[in-house]
Amino acid sequence: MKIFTRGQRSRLDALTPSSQLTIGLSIAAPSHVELDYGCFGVDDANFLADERYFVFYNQPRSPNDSIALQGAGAGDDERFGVNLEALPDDVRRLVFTATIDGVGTMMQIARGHLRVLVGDVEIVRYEFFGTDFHSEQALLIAEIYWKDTWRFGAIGQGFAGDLRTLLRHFGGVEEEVSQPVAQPAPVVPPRQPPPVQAPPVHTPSPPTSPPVPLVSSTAPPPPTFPVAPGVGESLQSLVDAAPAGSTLALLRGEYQGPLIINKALHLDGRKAVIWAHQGPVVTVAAPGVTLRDMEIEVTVPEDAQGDGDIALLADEQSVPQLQNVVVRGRLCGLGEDGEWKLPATLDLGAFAPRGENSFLVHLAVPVACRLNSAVAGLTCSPDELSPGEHDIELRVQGVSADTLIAGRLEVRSAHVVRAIALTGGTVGGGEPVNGKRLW
Amino acid sequence: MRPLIATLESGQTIEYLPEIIGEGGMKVVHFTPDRSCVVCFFKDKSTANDPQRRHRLQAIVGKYNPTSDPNTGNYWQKLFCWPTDIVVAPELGVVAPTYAANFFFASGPFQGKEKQGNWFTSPKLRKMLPEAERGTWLQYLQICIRVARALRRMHNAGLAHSDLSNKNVLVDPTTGGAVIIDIDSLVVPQLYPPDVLGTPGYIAPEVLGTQNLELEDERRVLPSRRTDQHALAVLIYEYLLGRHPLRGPKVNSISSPEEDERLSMGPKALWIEDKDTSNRPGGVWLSHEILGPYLAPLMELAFTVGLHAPDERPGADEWERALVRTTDLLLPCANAACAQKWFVLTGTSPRCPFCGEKVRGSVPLLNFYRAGRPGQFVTEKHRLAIWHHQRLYRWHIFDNAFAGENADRTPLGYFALQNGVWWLVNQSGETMFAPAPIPSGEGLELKDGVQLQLSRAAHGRLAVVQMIS
Repeated sequence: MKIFTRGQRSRLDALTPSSQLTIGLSIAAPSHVELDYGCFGVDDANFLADERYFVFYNQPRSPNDSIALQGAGAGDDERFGVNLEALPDDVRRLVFTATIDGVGTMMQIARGHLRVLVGDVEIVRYEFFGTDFHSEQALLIAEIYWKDTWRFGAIGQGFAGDLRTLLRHFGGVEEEVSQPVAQPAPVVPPRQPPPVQAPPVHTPSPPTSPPVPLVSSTAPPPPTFPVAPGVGESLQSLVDAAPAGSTLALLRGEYQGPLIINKALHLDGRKAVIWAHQGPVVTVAAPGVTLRDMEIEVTVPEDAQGDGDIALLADEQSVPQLQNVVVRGRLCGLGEDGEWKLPATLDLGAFAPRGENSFLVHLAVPVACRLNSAVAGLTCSPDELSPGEHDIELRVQGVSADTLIAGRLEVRSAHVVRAIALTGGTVGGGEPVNGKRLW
Repeated sequence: MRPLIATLESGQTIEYLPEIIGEGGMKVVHFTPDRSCVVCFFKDKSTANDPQRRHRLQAIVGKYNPTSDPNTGNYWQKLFCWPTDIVVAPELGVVAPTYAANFFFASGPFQGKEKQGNWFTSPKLRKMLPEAERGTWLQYLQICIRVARALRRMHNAGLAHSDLSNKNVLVDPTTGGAVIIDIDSLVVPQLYPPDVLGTPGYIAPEVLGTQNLELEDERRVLPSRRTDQHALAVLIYEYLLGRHPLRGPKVNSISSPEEDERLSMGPKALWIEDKDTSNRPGGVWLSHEILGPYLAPLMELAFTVGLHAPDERPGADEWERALVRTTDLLLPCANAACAQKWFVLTGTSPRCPFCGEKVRGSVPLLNFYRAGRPGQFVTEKHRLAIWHHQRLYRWHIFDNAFAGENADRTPLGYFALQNGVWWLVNQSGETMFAPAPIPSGEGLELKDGVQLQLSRAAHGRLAVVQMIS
């Protein structure tokens, strides 16, 4: 039996030769938290092209029983039976979810598990805890997906929204019905998703029987689904496999580079960190690239030679769009070339508690920037910098005794945020510090 | 010998062997043929006919049973010998699981006997045991954690054991295991009063002091959670320091040994380490201060103010937290001949209190800070003592994680001493910062004053390295 951690992936044939699996789910939660389990059978674009492949309490079976709700089993609150060979060609991903009905958040759960069984034999277990999440009301727990072969991946991602929101995320909408579920309803043909550059391997087939009247497709853009590299895979391989012009959303976590993006791509980091020992960490070599919501770090020492300290490199024709990107290291090719004199770290040392302390740093920036402190009690003067060299005064006050500083000073230009790590504290501090030059 | 048949409350039947394998004041005990369970019958038939007793048993076997919890039941099954069924014929009784094999002596002169705590806490008895059965101080600390945790679980449910003693707690110092037995005597609130007052040496002073009053007298004090807390404190003191906290040289009555015992354990009870030295034993012995900064204050509270003021006693949850935090201060003794092998770091000049051996070389400590205002970390006044191959766990990295029964015990890092240099190897899957990044899989040399951010996620701690030698 293999234990999976969040983000871990594996080929299914490395775990079992069987294509008939049972997925067991269980979550321990306070009594007022009501949970519903579901399975979304989506296509390559993460779109619920055929709503009959959304299996949950109100629609317990998909066509051919390829996905079937089995109820509670030994040790599981809910079980799904899956027959991979009975799935249609366009269903390429089975996503197992849990949603809270009513009040409650996922951080209130104690623990939960998803396990894969073949017969009665458990072959995979993935466990998660309430402390992994925050105020989300839904969980994307794990998935079975097709990529050359069937694979299993532990997701463990919170989702802000309830079952309706999750349904919309996959491209469906819950309809109002005035009759019980078992009654037939008019056929609602599924809407074809917008075309993508890489054609799907198989064309979708039309439904042959009236669908259960719960969902109808709307006109969404294809939803983006967070992913992480599987075992033996890298972030580069994920990027290489993504269709040009598509959006690749990453699971929050850390990814080792270097990474080269040589096609149009929207890379949504979701607060991921891309790092490497030596730069360039990320190289953008094609136009039409957007980098959003991520940190890019190079861990090389400050006195590294050559390109070793470059965090982000773009050539002249390939300047990416950057949205909420924080960088530790040098940037090249973003139209912000010039002399940047910024330290990687500023150590304030020991300073006096509660009182006011001041420090001086000398910075040089080639473009207009704004300084922002992410440390409570620390201010910068001036905080608006024109191109050129500046003496900056850092003032720290109101910090309690026996307190350490571990944060950052942000230098925000038009394109990117550069981070300077800050350390120090009032532990062992004595007299107030006045105008101590740090750098 | 042909097994006999007993009928359960559910109507099902269970076989049991006629041979009586054990007998106490209340029950006789038989094995089932496969020896996985025991069937216990109450000896006193009048109490057996008491409907209140039946209701109590139903509550104990049913709604109060922690071993039936689908998520944590497996864990509690190892800490409690909890009755699983009620027997209604031929007599009233209970079915309970058999103790695990490791709670019986496997070798030596007492092979096959139950490992009751007094075998290990009495210096005289301990000498009679084979070396392999004695365990090290670390295992006794683990035993204390398990007993405190089990009692905390019981008290959280509103129950009281009422007869907690070293006879009702089986321990295994080879593994640090412990199991609480005699669960059917639990005090169930509003339902049934206790059957017994407790066991001598563990009965709370206020119970002994009022035992001669009538049951209906409102001044009479009966066993409760407060008296369990006294028994727990006595047990922990015995397991960790190897002696009883109240048995000293002081004589409180010359009229009879029984009266002296009643007074010395009751209204005149005095801690042997009290400032009043009249009950202090002679000779050389170890003070409670060797237990470290979390347990020593609780001992003082339990055996000074709390001795005669039950409301002041530390609760089982406080003991559990202090014991768990104390494990972070453990250091291995460098003396291979030391019987205890582990001790608590107190002060900055570490020396094993059991054999006197000084710590060799330098010892790193991680002083923990938790996130306060943005970018600021405040001291938790808690530290982790580092030893070669010590592991780093989730409850070290995050200030909202606790090493309880639900804890994730996946190691997230380890410490190693290599060529005289101390290292931390990050295995957490996330980068740590010192302030240079230490990606997962890489190491950080530990030096005095290094500030290490263990995680940048919410509740991630900051640690400052302190080297002592």
